[in-house]
Amino acid sequence: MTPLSRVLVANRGEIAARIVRACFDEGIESVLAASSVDMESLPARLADRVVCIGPPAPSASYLDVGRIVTAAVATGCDAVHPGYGFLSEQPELARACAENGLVFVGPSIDSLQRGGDKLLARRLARELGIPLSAGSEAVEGVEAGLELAGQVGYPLIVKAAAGGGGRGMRLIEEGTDLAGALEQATSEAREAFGDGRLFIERFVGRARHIEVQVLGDRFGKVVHLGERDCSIQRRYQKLIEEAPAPGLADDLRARLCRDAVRFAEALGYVGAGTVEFLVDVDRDEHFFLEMNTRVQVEHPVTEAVTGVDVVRQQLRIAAGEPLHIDQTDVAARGHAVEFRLTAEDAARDFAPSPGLLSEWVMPAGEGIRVDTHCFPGYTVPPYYDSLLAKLIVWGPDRATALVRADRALAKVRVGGVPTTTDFHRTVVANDDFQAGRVTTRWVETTLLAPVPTMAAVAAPRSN
Amino acid sequence: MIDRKELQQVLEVLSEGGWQHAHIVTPDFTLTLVTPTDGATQAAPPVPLAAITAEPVAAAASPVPQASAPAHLPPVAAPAPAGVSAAVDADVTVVTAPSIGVIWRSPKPGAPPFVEPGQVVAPDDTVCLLEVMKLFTPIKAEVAGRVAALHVDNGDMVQFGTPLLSIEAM
Repeated sequence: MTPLSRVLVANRGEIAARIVRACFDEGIESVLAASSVDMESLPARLADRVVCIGPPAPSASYLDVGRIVTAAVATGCDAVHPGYGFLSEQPELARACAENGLVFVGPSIDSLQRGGDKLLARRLARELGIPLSAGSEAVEGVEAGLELAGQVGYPLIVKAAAGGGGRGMRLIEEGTDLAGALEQATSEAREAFGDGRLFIERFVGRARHIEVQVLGDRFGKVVHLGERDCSIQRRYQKLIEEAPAPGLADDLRARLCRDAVRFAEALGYVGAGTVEFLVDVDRDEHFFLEMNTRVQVEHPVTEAVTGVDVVRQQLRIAAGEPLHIDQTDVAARGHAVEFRLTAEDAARDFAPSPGLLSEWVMPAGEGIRVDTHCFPGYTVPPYYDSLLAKLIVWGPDRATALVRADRALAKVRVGGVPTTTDFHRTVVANDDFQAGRVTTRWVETTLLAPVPTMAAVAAPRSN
Repeated sequence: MIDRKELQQVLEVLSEGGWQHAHIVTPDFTLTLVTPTDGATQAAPPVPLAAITAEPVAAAASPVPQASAPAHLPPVAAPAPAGVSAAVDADVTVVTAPSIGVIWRSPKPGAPPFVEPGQVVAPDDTVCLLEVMKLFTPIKAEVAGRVAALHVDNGDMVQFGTPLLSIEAM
């Protein structure tokens, strides 16, 4: 075990500030690699040192492996923390670190490839007997189709692999002559698209996005830190996350967490990671979606209910320390909700809007945590994502947490750019959300203007 | 030649935008502006139009203000150390580093350097190499003129924006 003495923080914004703080707590020096426009940012001021690696464009700064590694070597770092996004899941950065004698604060190159690649990860999940979600590989012919359908389970969506825009889709319920239906679908696909291959997927009408945080050390020990519910999404972007998942049955929770640990163990996963599942609300079943082989934006809600500092654990694991957390030590206490405050105008289709923050006042108090890189007078640059701050609210139970959340959101004052604060207040006040009744399509189909639902598209064709 | 009012406007626009470096080339003049790193939000003070040459950046300049470099490491030249004033001179161009990396003044070890002070250069001439993880990029003069000063030594680590050399029009 070699304690880390200096870490290069290869990221920006709120997560860079978060990593710098964790380094400070661990007694590790931090060096921030920043683009020219981030040299005066909050993380740049918090870090022990900052070096300018390039112009604002990510391709010439945060996404450039050469510049990142050069910065680490030049400043005498022994490790690189990639944060989330950017190069955090790119084997190229992990490889370049290894070639230059730097510890990559993350999993092995093999884990990044096998865990991070969607197809390889699904293959591993299948081998482990973990149920899989929609998104099968294309199959050709009735026999292969029958085999896959057997694995996927009813109800099925069958769609032409070469089709698109909802064309050539049919919903197949249990009891249908599956072989006949597949034959028909194959010949129709061949006629319409010149390609008879099909995707056969499990149809999940009402789904929740539930993910499990795992930690693995270099000695093969893996523990989970419980689950998070991230069903409040818009165009596959998470907006609100909470821990624990409201109303989740204990045995389903246990199955999710057990499968997440099994998956991470099978990879020999080292570091912090998250295994994502889709949960079928109506059928109480879960399906593996993918694994995120990095620390995630929403890690604070797990920290709030478990008391475990995920980023500090990353640093310790990277240094070769064994995990001092046993599974029996892990328990969720209370309830936490995180709201992503972004510089987007919810009234104008969430159009991002960078600019100067003429006013910036964040709430504070018991059970309130704000992770941010913003401050009054800061200019939000146009080159990067629109996340301004994460407001994390904890309460001894969900109802208290939501009351606290509404009060906290009401205290947010941001001038100069639009924010999603009012949108969050609307969600918190909503009955469905209060009752824990939301699904992944809820924001788009219920809260905002309705869009055509799956039911309209998936009606079985009449002959 | 740029007049005082135009210059003031340029300075205001750039400092409001939080710019640290600007290099403006027109048929009539070349303008190079460098903001000191402490207090990028302050407007750069207006400067008299009498010819002012930039103070040459001392070789092996001190590291960025945040912390001192550890003793066993060569200092990484800062993008714009305090002491480099705004060079409002139609005649001097400061060539800056396009990336963090190592500066090599010769095509290979032992070979003569690409340029020496006093040497005349054309825009397409290579003045030095920038190495980023074994990838060597030639840095061009981009202007015609005479090398007035070199701001880095062979093998110096530089950051994006670090001044490398100054070229004066002839």
